[in-house]
Amino acid sequence: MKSISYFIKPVISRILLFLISVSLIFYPNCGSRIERISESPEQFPVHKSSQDLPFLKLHMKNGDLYVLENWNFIISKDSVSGSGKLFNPNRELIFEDKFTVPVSQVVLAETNQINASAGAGALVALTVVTGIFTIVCIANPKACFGSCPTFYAYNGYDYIVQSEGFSSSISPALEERDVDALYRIKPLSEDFEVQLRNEAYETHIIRSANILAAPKPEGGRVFATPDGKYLQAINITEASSITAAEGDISEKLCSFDGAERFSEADSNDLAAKETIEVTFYGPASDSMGIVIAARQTLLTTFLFYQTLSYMGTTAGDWLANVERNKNQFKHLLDNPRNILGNIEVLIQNENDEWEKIGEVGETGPIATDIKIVPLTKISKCESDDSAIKVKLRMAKGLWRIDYVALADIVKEVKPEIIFPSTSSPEFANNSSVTELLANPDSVLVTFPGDKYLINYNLPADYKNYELFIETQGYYLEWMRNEWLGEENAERVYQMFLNPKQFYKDLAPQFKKVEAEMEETFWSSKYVYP
Amino acid sequence: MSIHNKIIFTILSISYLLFTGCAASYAPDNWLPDTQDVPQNIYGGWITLITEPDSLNPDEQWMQYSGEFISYDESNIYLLYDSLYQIPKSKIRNCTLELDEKNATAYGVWVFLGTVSTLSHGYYASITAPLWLLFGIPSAVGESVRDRYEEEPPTQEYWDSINKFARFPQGISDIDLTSIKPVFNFNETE
Repeated sequence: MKSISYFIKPVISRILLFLISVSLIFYPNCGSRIERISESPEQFPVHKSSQDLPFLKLHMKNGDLYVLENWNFIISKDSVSGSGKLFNPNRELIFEDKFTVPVSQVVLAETNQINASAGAGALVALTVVTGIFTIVCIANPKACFGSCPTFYAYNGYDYIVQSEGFSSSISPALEERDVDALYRIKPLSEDFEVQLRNEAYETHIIRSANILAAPKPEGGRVFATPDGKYLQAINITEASSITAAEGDISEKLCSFDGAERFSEADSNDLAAKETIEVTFYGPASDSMGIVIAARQTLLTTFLFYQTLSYMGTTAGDWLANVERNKNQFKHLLDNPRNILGNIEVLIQNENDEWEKIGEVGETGPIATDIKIVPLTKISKCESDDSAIKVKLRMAKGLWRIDYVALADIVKEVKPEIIFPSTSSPEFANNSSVTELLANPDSVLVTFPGDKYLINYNLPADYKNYELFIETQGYYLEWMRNEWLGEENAERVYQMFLNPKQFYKDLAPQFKKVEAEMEETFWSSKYVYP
Repeated sequence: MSIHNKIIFTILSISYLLFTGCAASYAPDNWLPDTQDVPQNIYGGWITLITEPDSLNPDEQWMQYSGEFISYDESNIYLLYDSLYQIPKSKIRNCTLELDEKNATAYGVWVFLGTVSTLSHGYYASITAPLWLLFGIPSAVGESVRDRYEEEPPTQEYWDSINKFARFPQGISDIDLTSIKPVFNFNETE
């Protein structure tokens, strides 16, 4: 009893109560035992198995739930196999069996880590490692080839890449239709073949791949406009002079031949603009258009992969949010896109002020696309020397321009849609490609290295038609292990909410890799042509 | 104060600290899984929402809704009890989400008994008893409040952070919610 009196002496009691109070303030904030990770399919655990994570839960689009144990990931078939239970949305047991679940059908994969109870200390802890599982890229992770499907067609000498489908569609919610001109191809017969390749490390989901055939005018071509119209054009004329910051560049842009003009990005601001001045000689009319053939540099590839790096282990959560809040996220994605911008076309108005009349620009660094921008109001501009002056304004280091020309627009035409007639897998497993592409409710899923030959029946007078390829779908990115060390949520929010500053902050980092990116990019293709 | 009263005072103080620090669970008995069973649990966490009345409607009152956390979208929270409830986020003033059955009571009893047991330590109780209290009380309180997500008022970041504990973390756009059966069917018990 004597010890009790020592224990409850007022001073000691007060100190003790103070210490307990302080620990009660701080302790409850650091005792979470349940750590749940919900990941999109692209972050599936590739080389982990139930030895590391006893249970894996797969959430399906219709609300069904697989709870698997003794599971493992089958890389070649891109599926997860295991034994366990399948529940319906009411959580009633449907089956208890062994399952093989295709990754493409899964919306989210859930794992749980139960940590040791810090407070108890003596409790038995289940220490389970949840890693993030990736496919390793060959070289500089942010310069890896990717990510969308590529379409090759014959140009009279060889198969060349003519289209990269739906480059910005990185999740189901961003699925979109994309049209690319097959401007340089020369069909040899009515039986026209296109090679569809998956040269990236991504999974491609292709809903349709059709040919559009638009009748050409006599001696002319057909060009698509940025807003989806098809215009017949004649008298296609190269520029008299084209000047940029480095001087005269007209030789590079006088023909659509692969000789491109591009600049380096600004060292302090990736969104800093530059202008190119183009001059044509001849009378102006309101039925003219400027033809521009261009593709992006690897700057957008770098920005995209850097964003995924900043998202890090939460990339799956971000993409799941895109699925749940499509409209809100599409709006947010416009913020950084609008700051970088496209190739703007400007002409001088009656007051000699440069006014924007249109823009072109398609996402993707692989295939050059060609479009026409109608030059409205140009006849109102007076000029002493019959010179038609146009300015192109764009972000420095973002665009590779191959060709600029002026054309007389004849009229708008509607192209004929030609669906795939036959197909054959060259390096792939799926033999029902045309059926899948013909049905809007089904998709063709391709994996790294897959290659298909798709045939189309062109009109009998196929030489009188301008061909375009129209694709629809999306693709799923795979996180690379090397990106995970840069996780930074603040940067992601900055990109969406303050993209101007984001581009300034990121400029030094890009400049360090800009020069070597081209070589790394093209050497990291999954399959060499 | 006599020794006897001081002992009673101490016991009451410990009990007070334990009970006021511990968080009560809103979930029905045996609903929440044990911690080690969480990885294979097929239901969402237990969510409790308190909504405030519409200032323009004098008859509306503060309401409390509790049930299984089903999902959320831009405007609403979905929870399941005797039927599926759709609660507008704008009306929610407090939200608590629980994930598992806690052992707080067991911890509390353990701490209490452990402290009392130091009576037998003689002189050394002056060291062991305070240690029991210093580590035991926060342990018991910490056990009761861990893995319990509470926010007042809940923000969009909060909803985003707890979504993974819903029955349908993937969203409900492709799920027929009208087919979801209630957790508790009071018609069957009558």
